[in-house]
Amino acid sequence: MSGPPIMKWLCLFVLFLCMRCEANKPRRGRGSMWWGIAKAGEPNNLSPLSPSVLYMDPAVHATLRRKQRRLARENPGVLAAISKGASMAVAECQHQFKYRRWNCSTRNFLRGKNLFGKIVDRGCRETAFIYAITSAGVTHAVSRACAEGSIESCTCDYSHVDRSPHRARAAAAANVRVWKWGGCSDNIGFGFKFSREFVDTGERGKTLREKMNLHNNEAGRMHVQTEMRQECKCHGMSGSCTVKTCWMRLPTFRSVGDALKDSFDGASRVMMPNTEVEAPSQRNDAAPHRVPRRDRYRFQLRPHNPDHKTPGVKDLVYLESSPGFCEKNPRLGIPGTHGRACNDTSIGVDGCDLMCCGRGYRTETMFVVERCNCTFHWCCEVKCKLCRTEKVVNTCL
Amino acid sequence: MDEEDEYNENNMTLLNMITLCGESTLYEGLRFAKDLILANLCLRIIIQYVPMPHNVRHSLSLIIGSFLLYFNIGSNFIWTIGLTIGAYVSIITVSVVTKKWRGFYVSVCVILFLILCEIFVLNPIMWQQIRGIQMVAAMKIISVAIELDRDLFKQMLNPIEFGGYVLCPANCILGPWISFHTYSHYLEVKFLCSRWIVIILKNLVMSMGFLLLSNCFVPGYIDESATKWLVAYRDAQAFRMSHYFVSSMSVVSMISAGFGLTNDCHSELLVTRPMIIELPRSLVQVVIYWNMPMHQWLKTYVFKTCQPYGQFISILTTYAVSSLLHGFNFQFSAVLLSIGTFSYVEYNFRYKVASALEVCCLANPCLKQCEHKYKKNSFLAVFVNTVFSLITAIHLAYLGVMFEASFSVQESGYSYYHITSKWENLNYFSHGLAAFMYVIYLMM
Repeated sequence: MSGPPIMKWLCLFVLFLCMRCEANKPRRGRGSMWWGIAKAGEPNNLSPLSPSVLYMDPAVHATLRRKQRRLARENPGVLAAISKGASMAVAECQHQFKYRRWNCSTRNFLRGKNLFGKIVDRGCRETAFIYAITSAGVTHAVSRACAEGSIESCTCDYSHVDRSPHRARAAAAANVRVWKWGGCSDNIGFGFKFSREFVDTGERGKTLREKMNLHNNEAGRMHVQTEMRQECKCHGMSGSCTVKTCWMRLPTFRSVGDALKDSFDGASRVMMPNTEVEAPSQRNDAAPHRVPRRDRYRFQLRPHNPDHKTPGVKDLVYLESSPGFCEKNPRLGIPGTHGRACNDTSIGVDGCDLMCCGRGYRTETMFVVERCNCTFHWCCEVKCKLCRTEKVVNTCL
Repeated sequence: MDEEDEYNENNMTLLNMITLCGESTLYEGLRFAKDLILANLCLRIIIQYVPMPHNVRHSLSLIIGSFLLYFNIGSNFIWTIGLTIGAYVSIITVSVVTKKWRGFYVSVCVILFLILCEIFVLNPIMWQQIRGIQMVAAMKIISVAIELDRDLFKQMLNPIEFGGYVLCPANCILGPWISFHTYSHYLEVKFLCSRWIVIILKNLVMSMGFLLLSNCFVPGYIDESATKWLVAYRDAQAFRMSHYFVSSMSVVSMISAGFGLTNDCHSELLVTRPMIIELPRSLVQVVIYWNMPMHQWLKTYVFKTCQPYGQFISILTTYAVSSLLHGFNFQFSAVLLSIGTFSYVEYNFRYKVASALEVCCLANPCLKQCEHKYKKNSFLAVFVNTVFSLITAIHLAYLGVMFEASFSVQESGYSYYHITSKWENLNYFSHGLAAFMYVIYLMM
């Protein structure tokens, strides 16, 4: 870990060489390949993820694009945060979709394959959610790591000068007064910007699908940002408010996941905007050939049904209806709901009727050992006993 | 697996709280302290090194104080200036008519002004911001008016002296109240020592510690899902920590102006005693040590003035004045009235218990020799006092839970509904307990 500096430089050099040869190869993978980083640290799960370990991991390298590798190199410590954010996103996705036909299952991580499977090739709701939650995960984890000081390049902004517009917008959306800022809790700004740089690499916003990805990535970030709460407290003689102290608190990732799930349920189907014709003429004056980087996010998607309202920044958008998830479909990488557990008393999507798509289900009684009688010990430990309980398990045929 | 997730989330919010909250809290606390300390150091250094006539010193205090107020509360500082000018004019006017009732008339005017401001003129957010400042100013004005009645001044104060006293940067923002003579004395006195810096730093560190405790640590150390009494205790404790922060910060501002130092450079300033309040012997003690200068003010100017009219009237007036000074709101009246009755019941009940069991367990510790059979170190005395301490802690949690509220409520004032819902949640337990103790007291 704390080897001589020369070792560190050697590593960097080797890394650099690797990058050179990687760069010579033809373009590999899509912009979303970095998701694989969620599983990259898994085999040696026992040791905490250290940046150097992640650097060395060839599996990680395979997943990253050239720009992403540059970002990781320029911001030591950020790779661990991204990895954490990605696995947090996967866990949250699987939690949110635990009782649905599509349960956010992930493939074994193999080089060159997509973590979530071929479903992301379709521009459906599920894909929208995947993009949004992973982008949110990176924003959240990087912001937090920044506040904790584990990313060296992220410094606290004490100047109050750099007030990016998205922050003011988010503050307005969350209906909080823009406070004169001090302190390190403002790191959501870093997380937001970093996530744009890292996650949106390769999404140039040219095709409709890329626009969809950009929009959903942005929606995930916006959810983290608007869920961020400003907390204040008054101090003064006998409870008056002479001195106000405020700080920002990152939302729990669960609440971000809940909010995104709501957006998933109310996602809007979009189509190519007809402003596409006007847009280039506007751009013609400034930059005729290249889309300016900032303009990548300046587009408006049109709802598929003209009666619906246009999607807002926090809404998820999709292009095509979801495939049925009932039967195995290797072409789309859908495993089907065979063998999934279901609830025989529920009439919702987790109920056996809907989950098993009318194929019927098998009921088994089994004994499970699980933790119970958990008590909270001050401070901060939860102790549990192990209990053997009888459980009725229904599985789809 | 799922439980482990929950566990991690819990752990995370704790960490979140410390890293995210602590740093910005400290930053904002220090930013506030910076202005306060700079203004007061400026005052002290000029007084120390530039020889000046009497009136110039007072006007210096007036000017620096006004600037400090302006930097802290913005244009709202005209309300404090207005109060000062209005009060001075009314003291002069009343002096023409009477020499004996000035204190009474001025007090009525000042309190009426505060109430009218609160009800008709100011918006609640602004009022909450300047309430503490107006309160300190009102206390200073009333004390001057009453001391004039008592012939404690050689001649009528001139406007500069009066303005310098009321707007003195050392205590115009967070208090504590000091009398005009003390103020004048500290302004005249010159001293130089290195301990001075040490005292300032010590108090600054202490106040920042209390600020962190109040904002970040105390709200986190008991889980929201704990029993409601533990949660109430936690919330009340967070409020108490905030009070200690304000008190020690006021000491910082006083000391940096060189106020409250003895000739051999020791601090003689005591505003609050956290240990006595956190491990309370009795509610009476908490009332005394909560804000000692304010307690002394109430005793000297309200209680003693009203004493000729009987014990009951003077106690009642004291509570009335102290709740009116806090503004015309139900919350403070309810809390103060409850404290009043609880401590009255406690005082009498403990007196009866002490004489019945012959134990040293009075509300106030015996000074030197107590005449009871069981002295304060005997097992029985320790046991009885511990029980009473526990009851006091419960009372404090019950009373202090009132001040825990969402920021918007804190910022704009508390409503009637807020109070009843908080106390209803605790089933009006303390009121019941006090009533129960009173019944036993009557039967004994």
